Amino acid sequence: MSNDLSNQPDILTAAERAQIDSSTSGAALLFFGSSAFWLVFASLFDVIGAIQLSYPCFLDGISFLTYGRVVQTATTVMAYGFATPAAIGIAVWLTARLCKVPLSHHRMLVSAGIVWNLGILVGACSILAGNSTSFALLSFPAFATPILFVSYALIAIWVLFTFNERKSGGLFVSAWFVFAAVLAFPWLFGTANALLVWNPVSAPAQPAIALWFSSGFFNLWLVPVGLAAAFYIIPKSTGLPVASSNLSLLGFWTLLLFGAWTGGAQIIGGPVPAWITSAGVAASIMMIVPALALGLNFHLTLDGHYAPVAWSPALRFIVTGIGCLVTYWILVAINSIPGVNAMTQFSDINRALYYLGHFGFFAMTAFGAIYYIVPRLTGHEWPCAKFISLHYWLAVTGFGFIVSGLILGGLIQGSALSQTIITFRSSVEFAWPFRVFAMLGSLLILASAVNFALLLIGILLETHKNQAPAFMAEREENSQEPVAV
Amino acid sequence: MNKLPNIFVGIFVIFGSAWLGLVNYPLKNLGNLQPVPDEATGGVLPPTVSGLAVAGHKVYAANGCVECHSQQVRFAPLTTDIDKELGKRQTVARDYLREKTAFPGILRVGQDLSNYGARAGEDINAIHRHLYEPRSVNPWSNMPSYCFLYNVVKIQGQPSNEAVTGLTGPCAPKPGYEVVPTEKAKALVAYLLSLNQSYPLPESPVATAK
Amino acid sequence: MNTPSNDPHKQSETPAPEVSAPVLREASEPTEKSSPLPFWLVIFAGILVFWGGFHLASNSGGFKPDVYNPEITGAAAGPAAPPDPKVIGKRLFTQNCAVCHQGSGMGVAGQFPPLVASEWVVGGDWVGDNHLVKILLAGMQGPVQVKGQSYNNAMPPWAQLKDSEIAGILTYIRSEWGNTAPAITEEFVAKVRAVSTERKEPWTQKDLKAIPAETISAGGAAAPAAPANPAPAAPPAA
Repeated sequence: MSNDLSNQPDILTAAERAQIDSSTSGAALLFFGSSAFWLVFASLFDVIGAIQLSYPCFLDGISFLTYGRVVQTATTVMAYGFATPAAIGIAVWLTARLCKVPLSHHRMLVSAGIVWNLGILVGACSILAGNSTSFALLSFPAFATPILFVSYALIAIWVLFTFNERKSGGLFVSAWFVFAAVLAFPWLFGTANALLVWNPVSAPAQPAIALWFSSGFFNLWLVPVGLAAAFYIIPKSTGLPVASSNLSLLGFWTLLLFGAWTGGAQIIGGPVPAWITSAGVAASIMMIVPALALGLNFHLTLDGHYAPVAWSPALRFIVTGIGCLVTYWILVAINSIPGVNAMTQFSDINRALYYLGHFGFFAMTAFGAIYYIVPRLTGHEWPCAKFISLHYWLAVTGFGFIVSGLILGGLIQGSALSQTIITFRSSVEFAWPFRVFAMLGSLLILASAVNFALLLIGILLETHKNQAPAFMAEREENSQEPVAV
Repeated sequence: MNKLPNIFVGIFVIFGSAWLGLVNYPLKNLGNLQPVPDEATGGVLPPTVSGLAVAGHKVYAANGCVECHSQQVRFAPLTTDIDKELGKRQTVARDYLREKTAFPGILRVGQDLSNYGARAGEDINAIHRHLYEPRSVNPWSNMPSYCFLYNVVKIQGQPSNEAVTGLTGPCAPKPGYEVVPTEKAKALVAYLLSLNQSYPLPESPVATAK
Repeated sequence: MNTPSNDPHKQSETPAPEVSAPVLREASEPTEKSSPLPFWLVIFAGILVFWGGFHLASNSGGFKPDVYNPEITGAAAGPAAPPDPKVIGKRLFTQNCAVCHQGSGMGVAGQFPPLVASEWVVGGDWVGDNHLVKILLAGMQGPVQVKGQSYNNAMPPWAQLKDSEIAGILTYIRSEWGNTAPAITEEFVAKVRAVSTERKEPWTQKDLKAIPAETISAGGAAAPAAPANPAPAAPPAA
């Protein structure tokens, strides 16, 4: 491993940065703005689903609001309406910054963004209307996904084109993660849609492919983009170098190597050849290696300089997100041990892990990145720091309620499901109070989503002429730390 | 390793190997699975399902039933699925040949359905009643009502012989009215009854009694 | 909460008029230090990777697509128990034989002989199990004496059926309707078929009587008058 990478002198002046940012601002703001809209939309359906799970009479007997459709709308819109556009916005902005050149053809990206949102609208309506494919994270029917695929192709082409135009010099680690993610997404999305949705292959082959996709969507698409943002914004906000390029390298390659294989661990004992589940178990447990390498790298970077986390919105959200990611991977590893999994599989723990990964890690990291990026694109500050603080606490307590409630409830439900003498009815009744608790968490997340959308509207429309950067907490007068927002 | 082309090759090899293992391997080895001949009946295993059940599978997918119901029996002794009589043997890939898309599921918010047809019994009316208003059958159930798959119609002369009977309480139709399943409801019930893995397969023999 | 007192222009860069404050106050582009990997992490990662490889290798089921339970390996994962021959036999009998011999096995007086307690089925004075198999392979015609009654019609050959299917039918008729003769095995059918290939036209009672009886003797079966080869599982004559 070479050691001289990325230790390039800062060749960007503020004026150059401003010029690079102005090339991405249209596309990035469009993606961030639409992702906030779809986040509110998805959170609303998530709340409806959470209420229906505990109080099945809520909006019962309405075809387009039946629980299955509501939940699939919530998860699919969360993945493609919120997470993917947020990831695209971050990836586009980071690519231009890291390659140190303005993005070419940014108008193309804006059109792609509009097409993307049309695809989400078509997809969400068709799930509610009863055209879902019912594959996890692939519920959009065959007529909606080609729209998304074409739109993404336009984006990826210009992102890769920008990589090709990059200024000479080593690539910072964030660029690696963005590059891997931009390649992974079309590979995953194209293959999975071609084989499962557009022209489905014979059903016996489907479960393995569906799991390859759903695990890859998180580990190879959302995670690398989130980590790229963290690797860029943490040093940027603190002025500190990343602690160890070797840890970054180890984390990067082990993440890709093991992350691609983890799917089988979700179907232990199930209808796929035994070696696929065994490979999934081994990969899921070995994911502790990237979890430790990346977590340690961020910790060593911030060690002794944690103070800005208190006042910088970007740092606070991103550090929380990284903490969730490390926790997520360790819990997934424990949950993949076959003896444990025999009890926890099919329980609410699966839902807890989904929220911890997709919300606790990705959404939080994306919020942090958006809090950092958007003022640079609009040229003015966030309107209200208190609102950012409120957003943070609503989101953290929200997913904290969901994750803790569903893990505890899932343990009890799972042991009920796996014990021969306990009836199925008991597993439903045991899980009930914990699902109510998680439902409160969903309500808090909806509130945080609305809060976030209002903030974004505020900064885009410049409702408050705030001249000072938004600090979430008192910054000590004599602090040696950089401004870090 | 710091050059973009090297990173590209590394990423390509890593993604490619996972793709070969988790996409190409199932495609080659499971995508061409055929039913096995059934010497006992002269038919095939898994048995061919009716057209109505195929239509019912679409209703199952459209309403997101997979969000709560798994369709897989895991092997013993690691799991207790067979002890809990969810099925007589492990579900294997060939079992999904009955269907256009496989729904192994990841949650058991509701019961596993891989052998629903084997335990449901003959009373189709009871299944319709359960779908129409689950809490009329199990007061503790958190399953949604699929009453939108049924029509409440005024009885014209003789009551329909398809009408769902035995509905009591708030979900019962008003006097003079009856609840008649739509084609979708009938298809869904046919699909649910087709879920039956009591036959043995070469790669998954029926477990011998413990 | 909000402290607007900080000077956002910390950077030494010359502020360009069109550059906004958030861009101006940024730290320089991030860099990485190249500190070595912690020793414990390398050891830990090595152990995990070793364990992962071991777990996969010992639970791979030989990477075969038809092994779904890694705890069942090798012989135990072999093919399922073959289906009950009697079940196969019953289906084939109903499809092919019941037209003449009737589902009850009672036959039709004067034309189709009964199978119930028939010496041709369960074995008799000179009738061996090989005769029964030969009748199925080549058919039979002309008058035949069964339980003292005479029947006269023709039975077609069933040589197109597999050995296992013929064995299934014969096992079925020898154990149904109160018959209790031992099962006819697939090997026995194969053996008889091997020595009967030259016979194309249906048998007659006279021709059959000229052939020495063989029997498949599981415990309790009455020995025929002149068993040429009593060992049922003996390999077919070359």
